[in-house]
Amino acid sequence: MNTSQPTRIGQALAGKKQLLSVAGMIAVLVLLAIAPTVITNQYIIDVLLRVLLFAILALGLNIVVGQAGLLDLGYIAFWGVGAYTTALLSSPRLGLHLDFFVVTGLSALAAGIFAIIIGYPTLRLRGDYLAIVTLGFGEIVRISLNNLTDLTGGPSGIQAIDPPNIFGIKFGYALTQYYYLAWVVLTIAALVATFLFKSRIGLSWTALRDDELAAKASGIKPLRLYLMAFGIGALFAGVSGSIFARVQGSVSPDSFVVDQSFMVLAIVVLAGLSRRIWPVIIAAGVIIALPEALREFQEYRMLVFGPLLVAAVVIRENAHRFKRRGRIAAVPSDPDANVAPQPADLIKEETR
Amino acid sequence: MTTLSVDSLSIQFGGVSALTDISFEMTTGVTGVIGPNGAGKSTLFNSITGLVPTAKRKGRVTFNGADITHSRTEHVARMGIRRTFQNIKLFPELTVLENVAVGALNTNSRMVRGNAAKAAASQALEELGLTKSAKLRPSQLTYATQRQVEIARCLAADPSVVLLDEPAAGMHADDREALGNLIVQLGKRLLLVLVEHDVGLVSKVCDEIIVLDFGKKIAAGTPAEIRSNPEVIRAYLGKA
Repeated sequence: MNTSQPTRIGQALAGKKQLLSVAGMIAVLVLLAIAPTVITNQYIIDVLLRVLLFAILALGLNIVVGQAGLLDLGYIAFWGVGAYTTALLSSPRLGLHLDFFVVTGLSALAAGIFAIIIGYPTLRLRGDYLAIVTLGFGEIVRISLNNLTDLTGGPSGIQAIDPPNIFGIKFGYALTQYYYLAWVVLTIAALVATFLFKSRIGLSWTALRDDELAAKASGIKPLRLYLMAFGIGALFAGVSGSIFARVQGSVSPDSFVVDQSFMVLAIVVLAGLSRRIWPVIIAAGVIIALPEALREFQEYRMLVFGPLLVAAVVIRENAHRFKRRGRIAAVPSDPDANVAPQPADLIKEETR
Repeated sequence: MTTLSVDSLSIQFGGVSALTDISFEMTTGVTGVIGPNGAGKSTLFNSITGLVPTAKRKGRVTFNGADITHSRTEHVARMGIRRTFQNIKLFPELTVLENVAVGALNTNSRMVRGNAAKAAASQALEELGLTKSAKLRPSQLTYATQRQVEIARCLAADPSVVLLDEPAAGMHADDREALGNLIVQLGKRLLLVLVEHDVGLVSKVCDEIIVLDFGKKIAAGTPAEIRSNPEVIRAYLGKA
């Protein structure tokens, strides 16, 4: 047995870490805010805009996978629900042209409700089983979008989505307008996520993920909290999807294929399933921008991307090893080893 | 006065009877449950806290008159019955303070906000002299301290019953002494049940002892009565 007494250094470090994670979040957000003033290349702004949208998605999935420990492989379906809700409520398709905030709110809500409807029966499953069921649901959503032609326009999707009109500011074709819209949403999402991690709900999610049995024995109701994680994660996806639909001006089922789910999951994993915000945003940058940087490899692009991704995760995991978190398993496996003989030695040794 | 009573409880796992027709009633104070390996001690805890599948439970468990035989683990916990585990179950990613605060989040009396839970956690840590460790993670603590944190997590909920599953396992003699004192203190206000192999500790701190063997209750009484009971000696030493 080592470290018998906690050190002051340990306590000081814990406080510092918290400060650093907030400072990191602010730094990344500020950098993203000033980026369009420095960068004039519209293509790079376009890539950064997608980074922002995927960062919002990843913050949502980070709640589901990172905080609550639920492996959801169909997450992109909620992005699709958000995008299509926006498309239906603000395009000539149904002849509806509702207010920007109403549409964004309803898109988030639709994704959240959809998540709860899917989650209620499936969240009794765990691990691989849940992964497979969510993967299936993700595909069902895409196939439905493809085939409900009367409502969704089928494979060609919905076009001519209204540009946002926020407090009288009518959006045109300037990419930077959408960029700042996405930036504001990301900032709000980051604040909400930070608040959630600190709240009783965040505490309960981490407890459930770490040890469901001990969490239940502490009075936590798993299904309710898992549903909340699923629903809140989907709200993030719904908002991101809504902005995505506005940026594109159109939606079609191809945008919501299963590969995209894996992209978002890769971001969350690369960020180390962290309780901090800035690694998630940085990871979104890496995962979204890297394939763009590899364009010169043309059709071999994904071939290069794959190994780079694996390398990134391996490096990240090992960097991790030198930092905090030895797990409970690091405790001496034979607890009785150091114990003086007791009258109880009459009893055979406990083996369970 | 808190009462926890078990009435002809039987637990059957396939062809194995883990518990057979166990009955007893406990009130505020410290009750020890002892017995050789496989006697059913942990199964008894598991069936009180809803961790044994309902279909396998027969008989009745009541807490202050309310039937909790078929209650879920989280409901039992919310009613004020908290437990520790034989293999320490702390949350590795949370700090000690957060670990203990999780215990305080969910009680039947009220919805506890994060800050209030942390205040309750600080108080529980102070009671156990663990304030210094509040910001550390479980992996940075000794085995004995981890066990204490588990107890703190129970106490933060202001429970009326605490079930301790081998709290002294892996502890040095000094730590055991301190644990014994703590148990005696807690026994004055709580209904404490102790599963423990350290018979020395059990006879020192318990008001009453129940002895299990092969899932059956073979004796119950004060520590002095238990020590002189021929059935108990036979079960432990294998002599007639």
